[in-house]
Amino acid sequence: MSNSTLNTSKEELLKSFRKNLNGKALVPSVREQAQAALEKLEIPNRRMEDWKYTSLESLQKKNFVTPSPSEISDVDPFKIEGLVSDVLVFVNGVYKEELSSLGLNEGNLHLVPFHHVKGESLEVLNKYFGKLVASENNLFSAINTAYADQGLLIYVPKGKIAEHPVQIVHISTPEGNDIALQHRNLLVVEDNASAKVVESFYTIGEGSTLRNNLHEVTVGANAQLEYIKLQLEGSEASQIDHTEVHQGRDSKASVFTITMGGDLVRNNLIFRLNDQNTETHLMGTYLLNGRQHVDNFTQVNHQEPNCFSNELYKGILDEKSTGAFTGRINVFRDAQKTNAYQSNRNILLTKTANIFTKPQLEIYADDVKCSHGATTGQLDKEAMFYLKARGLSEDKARKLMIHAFTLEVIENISLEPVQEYLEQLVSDRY
Amino acid sequence: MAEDQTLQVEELSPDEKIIQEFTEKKYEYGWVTEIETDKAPKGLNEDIIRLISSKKNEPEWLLEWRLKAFEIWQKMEEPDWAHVDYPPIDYQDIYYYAAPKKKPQYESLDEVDPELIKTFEKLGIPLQEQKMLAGVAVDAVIDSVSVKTTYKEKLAELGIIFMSFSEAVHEYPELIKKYIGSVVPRTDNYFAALNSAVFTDGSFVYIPKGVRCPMELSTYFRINEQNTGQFERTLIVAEEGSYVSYLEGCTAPMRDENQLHAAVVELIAEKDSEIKYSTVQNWYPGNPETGAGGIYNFVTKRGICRGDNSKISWTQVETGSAITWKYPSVILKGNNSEGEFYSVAVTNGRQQADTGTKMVHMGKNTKSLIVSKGISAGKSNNSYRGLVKVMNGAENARNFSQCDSLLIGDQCGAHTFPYIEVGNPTGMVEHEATTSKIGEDQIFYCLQRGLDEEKAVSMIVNGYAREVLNQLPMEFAVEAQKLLSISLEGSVG
Repeated sequence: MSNSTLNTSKEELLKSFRKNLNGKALVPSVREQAQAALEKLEIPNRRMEDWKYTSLESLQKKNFVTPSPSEISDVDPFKIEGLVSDVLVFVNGVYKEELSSLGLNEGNLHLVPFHHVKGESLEVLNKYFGKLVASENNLFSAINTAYADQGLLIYVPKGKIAEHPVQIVHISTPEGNDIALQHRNLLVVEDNASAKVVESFYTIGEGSTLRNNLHEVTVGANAQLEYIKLQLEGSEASQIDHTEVHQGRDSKASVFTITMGGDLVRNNLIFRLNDQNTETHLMGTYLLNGRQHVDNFTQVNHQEPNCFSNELYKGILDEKSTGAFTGRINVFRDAQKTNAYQSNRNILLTKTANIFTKPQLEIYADDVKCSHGATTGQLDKEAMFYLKARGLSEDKARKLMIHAFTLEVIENISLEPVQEYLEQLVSDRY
Repeated sequence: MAEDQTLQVEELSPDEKIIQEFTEKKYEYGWVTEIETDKAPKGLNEDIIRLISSKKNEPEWLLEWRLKAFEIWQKMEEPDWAHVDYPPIDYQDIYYYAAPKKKPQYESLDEVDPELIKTFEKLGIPLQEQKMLAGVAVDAVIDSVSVKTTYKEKLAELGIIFMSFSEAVHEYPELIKKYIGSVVPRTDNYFAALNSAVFTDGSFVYIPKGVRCPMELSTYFRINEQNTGQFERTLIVAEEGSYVSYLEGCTAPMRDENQLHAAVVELIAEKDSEIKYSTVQNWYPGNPETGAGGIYNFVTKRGICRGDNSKISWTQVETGSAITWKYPSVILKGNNSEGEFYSVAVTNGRQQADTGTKMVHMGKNTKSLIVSKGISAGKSNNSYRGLVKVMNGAENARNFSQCDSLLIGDQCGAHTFPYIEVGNPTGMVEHEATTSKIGEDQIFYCLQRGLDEEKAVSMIVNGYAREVLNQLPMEFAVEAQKLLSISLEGSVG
């Protein structure tokens, strides 16, 4: 593709996102910087090492329009059964107060859509907005920072424990069109505080959705966070998700990325361990079929000594699906006594599925224990034989094996209703 | 100085000798042989290529082939994706041709330039009679032109061709024409294109159908002329049912200016044949403090298992060079073919290595094994970069990769960049990598038993690399073990 066509497609892309912006922007200085950065950035393409296995050309052919205001009266099917939580619903990127229910964590946890920030929440927003994710080297982050007008501030002040999880439900209703949406979470868990967040994405009806999400997550000293993302969109949905987590001393953070829906999904998950003795878990599973293409790009930066990180991504690829995984562990010069583990395991069910995996270690400190492993294969023949010998049909044995394979990730989720919900989804799929 | 050192060493017990080596040896093979050479002017252009070609009396088609490569090279950009960092190379500031002036036409060893014999002696090349007993046929290359080939007759009886590349161009033009560039095409990469344009010499090996080569074939490369780039080209063809083991070992004199080395090695294994290719590389790694003067080693090595049941095995012990950029690869085209890669890469001082392999599975039931042991010390950076690709038609392909890194000291870096691409569900690909330092408990154990720390490290490192060293032919394995110790000199404490 020549440069000029690339530039036109970039202009088109920017236009589709700009349509949503209605003037009054928060934190104008950060936004202006991002807008300036947009000038220089190009659309990621396969010539870039970090995008080697994912092409965005299909997106560039679409003609995104402004979503029409949509009326949904019942969001219960999209809530996780049995999960007692604060619920926030966003339809086509817009916060729907009438569909949401808040108040369970009164006083401990603040949930403020960007349009409603004022007073203390505005201060928090100004303090953290745009601080973690730089706009200079990532086009999609820059677009989000420049133009996203909808978002959510999730704020747990010092020493507060949010006893109930927060559920954020995103629903898109493209109604036969191509729509482009942006969302942004600013998740701040201050020192000695704790929170759990479940965010899920769905599509209703025909048409395609492109989501460009950005999440800035700060976990303070001795704080805890569990953040679960469920990507369950329709077969025409695309998603670019960029999450960056900064951890303080003695903190613990887990991020789960579960991908079952969507046509083209790219997840960037970046961790920065800014202080000592932190614990980090990156867990993901992707169950793909059709022509789905899912690319998980993860990076853990061990900047300080005595930190522990553990990464496990497992994928099942059916039909003509493609999976890509990049896991990079960077251990900085001073980060002695680092323990970092990483594992990516894949099962291909058909001859037409493809998996590309790039587990990487970049290590500059000597007193470390780091390992990574990657495997790709099919369902264990011996185990299948064992099950069949015990009277299970081929189909049942297969189901059981797939279930067990994904369970290794899912069972680490501390919220039982979410586990059960996912297990049901896996059972329904296979 | 060298004599003094020898005297000292003799007085010491064997244990102390190792310490001596650790602490005092800088670069063992750092000297220059004084042989007059015939040099073309610096720089690269069509005229130089024509000159190289005419000096070698090459046929027209080869000149055309070189010129085309030059044309391709000019359009390419130097790759920058490797995890190495070096000042830009001025390709016009390099000599592309140097040949020993007195090209001996010898009937017997007496006629060979005595300086040369001395060189070989220092290198331990078994050119003389007692060394002949070692059963090694040697094709020694000094500055790009092959000077001596032994055992040629014995090998000829079996129909084995083992000669310098330039000779082969004249004697077996059809074979060269058929195979040159068939595994590493001129368009492959920047350095391969450069080599194709200006390669001066190398080795050619041809093993006919059903023949098992009775001895290890070996070539010692030596970069000898100041500011001379060395562009070797090796081509090994193993016909159906044949077997060959080929050794390549390198040392180079100490010098100040960076030297570029861009070799190309092509292996072709037909049905049921096996090629084993071993390398011990110990080029000047540059000044340990500044990194100045080391060799740049940008090599393209690739083999193709063309026939069913064929096998190619790469073994490398890399201790030298300032920059190493090297990925010996195997294309597993034939069904049931096998590829192996065993590597020990040691970096110390300011060395930078980016090395690994590519295993491309195309045929059914193909197997590959990768064992890579990286050792970083000093202020060096050592990266493993590898690709395992299972193509759609490669039913039941199997790969296992083990990449371990060992860090000695807190100023070095160890990195792993594997790429795994699988397009067939019956393929089974496993990759494992670990990074750690030498266990304190291991050192403690050795110290308790009276070893000093340097020796303990040397022993642990040799044990760590054993899996790879075991793959080397005997004579090489001994040399390689010594090399490992020497390379890690001064890295402890």
